[in-house]
This record gives sequence, structure tokens and C-alpha cells, in this order.
Amino acid sequence: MSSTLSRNLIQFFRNRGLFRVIVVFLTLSVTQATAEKAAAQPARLVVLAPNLVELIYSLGGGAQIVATTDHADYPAAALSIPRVGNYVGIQLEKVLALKPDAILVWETGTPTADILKMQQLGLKVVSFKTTQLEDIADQLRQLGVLVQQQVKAEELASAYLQRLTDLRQQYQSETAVSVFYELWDNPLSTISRDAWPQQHLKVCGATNIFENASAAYPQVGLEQVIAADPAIIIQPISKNEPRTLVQWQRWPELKAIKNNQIIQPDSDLLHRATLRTLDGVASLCREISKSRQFYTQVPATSGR
Amino acid sequence: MTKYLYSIRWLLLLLLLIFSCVWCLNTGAVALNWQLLWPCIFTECHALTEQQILLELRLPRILLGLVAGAGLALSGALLQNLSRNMLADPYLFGIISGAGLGATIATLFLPQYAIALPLAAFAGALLAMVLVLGFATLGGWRRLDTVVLAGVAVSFLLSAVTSLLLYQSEAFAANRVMFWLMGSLARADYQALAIITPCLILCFVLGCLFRRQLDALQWSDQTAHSLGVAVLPVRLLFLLLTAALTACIVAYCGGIGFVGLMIPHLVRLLFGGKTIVLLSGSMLCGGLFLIWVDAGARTLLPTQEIPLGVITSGIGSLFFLLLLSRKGNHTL
Repeated sequence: MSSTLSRNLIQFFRNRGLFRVIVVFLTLSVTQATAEKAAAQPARLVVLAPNLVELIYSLGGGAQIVATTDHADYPAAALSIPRVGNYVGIQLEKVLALKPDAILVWETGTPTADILKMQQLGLKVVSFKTTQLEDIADQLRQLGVLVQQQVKAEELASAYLQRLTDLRQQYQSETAVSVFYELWDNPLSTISRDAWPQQHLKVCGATNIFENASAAYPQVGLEQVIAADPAIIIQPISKNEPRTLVQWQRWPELKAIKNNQIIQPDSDLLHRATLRTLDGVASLCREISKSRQFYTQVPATSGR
Repeated sequence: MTKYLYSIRWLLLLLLLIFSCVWCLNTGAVALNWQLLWPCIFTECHALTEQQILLELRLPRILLGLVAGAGLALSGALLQNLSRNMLADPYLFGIISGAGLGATIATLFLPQYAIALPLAAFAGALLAMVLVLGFATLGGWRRLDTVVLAGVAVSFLLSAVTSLLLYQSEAFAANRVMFWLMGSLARADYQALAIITPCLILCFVLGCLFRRQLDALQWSDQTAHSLGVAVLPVRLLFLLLTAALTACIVAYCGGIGFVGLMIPHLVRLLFGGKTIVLLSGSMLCGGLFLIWVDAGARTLLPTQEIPLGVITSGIGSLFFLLLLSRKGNHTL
């Protein structure tokens, strides 16, 4: 019955806030892209993922992007690229009319039906998918070939991987500290082992209290958080898309609240797979490390 | 209504339909030259991109819009007459929930096969239909209300399974299914047309052949019986036909709400309620309505498309409120 459709719609719009946060993950991309042969002329690219746009700008190839999707907002220059759709649908007519040399899609975020249609229309579609932090370096190299900046891509990729290794060496062996990652407040949602930000927590040597939940982005109950009593509560917030937060102060007995250990990292950095991701991870690790030190100094409230 | 005025209305409707097709063919995200239309469609086109836009994107979309709109409105009209319930619509049997479940399974487990989605959605819609009709058969078809209520229950049951699957899946799968349920003609291709069109024609032809029986059913089951109509077989035949037609449409277009509910009411207002008039009028108006809605969906926002279900449900619910306020205390 149409009432079910309406119900789905209502549910969707109710969760739209959460959805937006998830959309930022749209930017999880990379790997699996087929290596492309360098063309003599700069390729005209339609880039259907914000993180790929940002990586191409990092390589100095921003001028080659002829169209992109909503949410491609970094760097500022990206805001002036014409838009041809979003995660719901791509305006295929516009894509065709632009006569691009290649279309860069993000495997899980670009609508599958549109990807298939573009392939049917004979357009060259290059697919990207990101699952690990290392994938960003691979993507850089592949994009370097597409925008003919292989040398720069190699430099950036190596520097990125070196920084990732350094961060891991610095934090991973430190004392584990339990954290709750508040992805969204209503419905209260968090991350588990299959979610993208879980890797950040791993680099920082933090233990996610919901690591073993079956869904990647599970909804959880306040009671479960209270029962687990994490040492740190992480509330990622975005400058571009403000959101409401759980008022944890209502639960003063929680270890994290009693000791004032709430961290509010920049979700724009953490949730988008680009070169800036490690800035966000480094900052998150520093904050977690400070908390760890705090708990070490106050042994009675150990954060383990 | 004089016969003259009546004919004028039909003529205007046909002219409007032809004009709308041409207009919608030339409307889209990319501005095309009017002069390109004829040569690009019927003879040779020098501009390959324009030809691709017209023949591979817009034309199948408009044809699918016509067929899907006609099909939904036809199903709605048939169901309303069969059940004598003016609020019956093609999603009566929890078809959309069943299709949603199928689409979810295809999206989650067989994402690499393009054909999996429509097939699974169709299978899901059939499952919903079988459950509802099975339940009605167990109850001995005593009351048609039971069928409608069974539809509601099955709908909720299948939605619950869908929600559970989506909750356990990766975040984007939920979005894809959610947007699919909102309806779109973006999947339009000639294969979809080849499947839906014969179902539509079959439904219409049988509707015309059984027009006397369907007219009789509008009175009451007893009256129909006394006029020699085999009430149960006729009703079962058309319930199955409309469910199959709707399942085919939903499989390719997702959930497009309110077309099947609203258009037959509009046709009754304009042309009257005799079966053959209602069925023909519903098909023409349904197709006309959906191609305009799709043209709006393609062009209202400069950089993106609006899901069809959002527009049809928006317009449909407003239309209904208007109708209710005009009818006052009279029954629909």
C-alpha cells in the first residue's frame, strides 16, 4: 500500500540528519580503479565523489574536472565546478553533453543504475572504492595517471604512507583506552569494526565499546553506553553541517563525564577519505593521548 | 453532458497527450534544438550526443512514463470498481513492500547483476500478492475488506524484514533502496517497455471484454450474481492481472504513489464512471500525468533529479484533500 511508501519516506526524512553524516562517508573511496593510460591531451573528467575531487585538487588537476556532485566543497575552488546530481541520481543528459574522457565514480555512493547506464552509453567509467586508510595512497597514484601528475602523486602518496606509519608507531602500542564514538545523537548511533572511523580509533590505540556490533553503523541504547561506561566520549562535529549532540552531562556518574573527557574532533576531516584525513586522525590521537595521560595520573579511575 | 461536449473533451485529451509527448521529449537537463527532434528520431542525426540523449535517455523514459502511468491508473480504476472501495489503489496487496524486500535482497546480495533488481522486486511483489490472496482464500473470500486488511498486515511484515536486512547492511545500501522506493523512471530502457507494455495491453483488453461484468459489479455482489456474473472468478482474474501489472511497473520504476488512486477519480469527474470510459480515460490521463511529473522531476532542480514518488504523492494528497473538501459530507 502507498502508506508503506509514505512510512519509508517519513522514516527517511526523520533519519536525514544521520543520513547526512553517512553521506560524508561518501567520500570513502579508492582502489580497484583500473590504471588508465595517460592521454596526450588533459583528460576532461566528470568526478562523482567529493573526496576524489579533493584528491585531484591536491595533485593540481582541478582544472580538468568539468562536473561533479553535491557535497564537493573542498577546496573552495571546487564549489564553482558545475554539478550534475548527487547520491540519489546523476543527470545523465548533462554528463553526455559534456563529452568527458572519463567518469570517476565511487562504487557504493554513485547510484548503480546510473553507473550501468553510463557504461551502456559507451562512456568510460572508472570505479573507486575505499576501505582502508592505505587506499588513499593507491587512489592518489591512480588519479596521478589520469591527470598526468604521476611524479607528484608518487611524492604525495609516499609522504602520506610515511605519516600513517609514524602515527601508528606513535600511538598503536599505547595503553588501550575505551571510547564511545557518537556518530549521531537521535537515534543514538555509533560505529563498529566495519565502519570507516574504526580505523582511526585503531591507529590511536583506542578500544571502541561497540566494536563487535553486527551492523557497521549500529543504533545503540543509552543504557548500553552507560553500562559500558567508556573512558572517553567522542562527538565528531562538522563545521559545514552542524548537528545536535547528546547532553552527556545528564549522566554525571559516567566516567567520561566525571572526568570531563569528551573529545569533539572535526568530522569533515575524519569522515572524508582524502589527504586531510590524517590531519584529523593525528588530532584525534593527540586528544585521546591526553586523556590517556589524564587517567594514568589518576589511577583510581583508570580508563581501561 | 451533451455528446458534443463529451467528444470535445476526449479530443482535447488526445491532443494534449500528443503535445505533451513532444514537449517532454524536448525538455531536459540539456537544452536541445527543436529542429533536431525530427531528424534525430526518425532519420539521421549528425550530432551523436544529441541523438543518444534523445533516443537512449529521453525517449525510453517518456515511453516508460506513459506505460507506467497508464498501468498504475488502469490498475487503480479496476481495483476500485472490483472492490467498490474508492480508496483502493494498486499497492493494495503490499506489492510495494514486497518489491522493496526484493530490491533490498538484490541490492545487498547481487549488486553486480543489473537484471537482479527488477527480477527480485517482481518476485517480492508476487510473494506479497500470494501471501495476501492465500490468506483471502483461506478465509473463503467472504469479505473483500479482509483482503485489504491482509494487504496491510503483509505490507508491514515485509517492511519489517526489509528494515532488518538494511539495518544489518552497509550504510549506502539503505540509501539506495530508500531512493529506489521513492520511484524513478531513470532505469527506463526498451527492455522494461517490452515487459510492461504487453501486460498493460492484456489488462486493458480483458477489461474491455469484461466491461459488462465489471459494470455490474459496481452495484453489489448480489445484483451482479442475479445478472449472471460469476463474481468470484471475475474478481480473482482481475486482482491477479492488476497485481501482476503493478508488480512489473514497480520492478522497474520503484514506488510511485497516488497515481492509481487519484487518476481514476479525476477521470470519473471528467468523463463518468462506466467501465470502458473509466479504463480508457485512466490510461490516457495516467500516462499524461506521469510524463509531466517526470519532466518536472528532471528539470525543477537545476543540478539534480527529484524522486517521482515525492511529486506524485505531494500532488495526489493535495488533490484528495481538495476533493474531500468539495464533497463535504457526501461519500466519494
